[in-house]
Amino acid sequence: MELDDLKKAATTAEMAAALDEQKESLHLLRHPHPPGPSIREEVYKGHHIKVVTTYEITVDGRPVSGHLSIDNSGSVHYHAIPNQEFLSMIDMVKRIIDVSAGLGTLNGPSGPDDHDHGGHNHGHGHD
Amino acid sequence: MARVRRNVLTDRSSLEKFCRGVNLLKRDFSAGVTTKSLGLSEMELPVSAYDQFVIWHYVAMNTLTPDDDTNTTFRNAAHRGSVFLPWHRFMLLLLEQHLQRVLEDDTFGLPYWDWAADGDQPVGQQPRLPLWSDQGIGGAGTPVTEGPFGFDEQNPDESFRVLFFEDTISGELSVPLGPRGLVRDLQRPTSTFGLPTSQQVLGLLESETKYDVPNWDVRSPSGMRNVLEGWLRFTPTSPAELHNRVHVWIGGDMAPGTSPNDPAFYLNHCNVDRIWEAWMVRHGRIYEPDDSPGNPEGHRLNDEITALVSRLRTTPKEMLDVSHIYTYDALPQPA
Repeated sequence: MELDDLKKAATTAEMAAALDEQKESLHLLRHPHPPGPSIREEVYKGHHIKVVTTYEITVDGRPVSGHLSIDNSGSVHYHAIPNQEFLSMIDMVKRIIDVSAGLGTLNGPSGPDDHDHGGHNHGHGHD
Repeated sequence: MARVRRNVLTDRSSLEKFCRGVNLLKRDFSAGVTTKSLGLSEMELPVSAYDQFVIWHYVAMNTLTPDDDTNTTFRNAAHRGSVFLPWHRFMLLLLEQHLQRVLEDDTFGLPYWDWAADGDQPVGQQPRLPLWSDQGIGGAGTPVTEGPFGFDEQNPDESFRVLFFEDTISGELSVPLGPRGLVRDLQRPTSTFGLPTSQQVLGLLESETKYDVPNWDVRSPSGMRNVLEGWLRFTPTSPAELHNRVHVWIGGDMAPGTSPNDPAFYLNHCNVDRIWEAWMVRHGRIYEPDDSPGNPEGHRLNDEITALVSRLRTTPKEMLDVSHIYTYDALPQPA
């Protein structure tokens, strides 16, 4: 990579063009990787082990619906808090509660659709 | 001449320029991107140049590599695999270039935060160290109210605000119900874990001689990348290590996949990039996995890395040596 290429790349016109060119990837903004079963597989003494696990987690009745995976050691990863893994599912949910409380999402969903049609005050004062 | 990246803990000028540049990027709507053009909302809310980097990171994190049942560890286009370091190097290069643009300063180098220097201080004192003061980048808060990224509820339009973030309950990108500022925990009150230490960084540089090892993911049993990303624990009860530990320690908006909402993200990753550079100076500019078909797509030496903020493309191979673009004022090296 040359410095001149980098300079040409760092313009707002280039930003708009890049978004336009990669429109197909933007569906991930509205529909991130969906939750699904966690699949663990291993071969032991020539036998194929397959463990398919699904979890139903709620906090105050609200589904915890981000993608979750469990590896062969039993370690749990919840993709919405991507820098941690947990040995206890309860500890993981406690951490989700801690983070969500801080970010203000425990008292109800705030997805873009709910927001648009729910009459809340956006308060975005950019214009 | 290559720009020089300096430590925010010792170089006041770099810190001030960084904060000013971030706030300028946060107010730069000249790309004409809106929440509607992103498909996020029917309302035409303008999206700043800064916030487009947040979007890029979130999309990369949700792009599985590969996107099939063999990817049981959720390796994605930017994390949990070998490409973690070159992907973020590319991101920092583009952000740094945009900061030069808005600062109108072609000598500006993105500063790093040598978090290990703060991690060597007593754990209980770490949240009160100078970086987290109003003269630094502000401290803890829901929201942060002090410093260059503080939120003033009496004047939200002029405040540093979070436009969208990952809802950690649903895992979906969300828009705050009203104007909201940045959230930071700075070492959760119940945590006895501090920041990573110099000893841990030097130990990594000394002991890890391979860049990465199979299966090129978070379960790789050794390798510099997996240690530095923070998946290999130094103690079994630790919540995370090195890069990951910094995210967890800061908490709040640094916790979900929209972590670039907090400018501290870039100070953390610039230090991670510096440690990678130090490792390459010591062990050679080597990268694994190679281009063999069995290796994971998106993480191989010559796989393309794309950006959502530019049409420029790169590869891990091209990111191995960018010393003609920037250097660091100092690299950590074992005695």
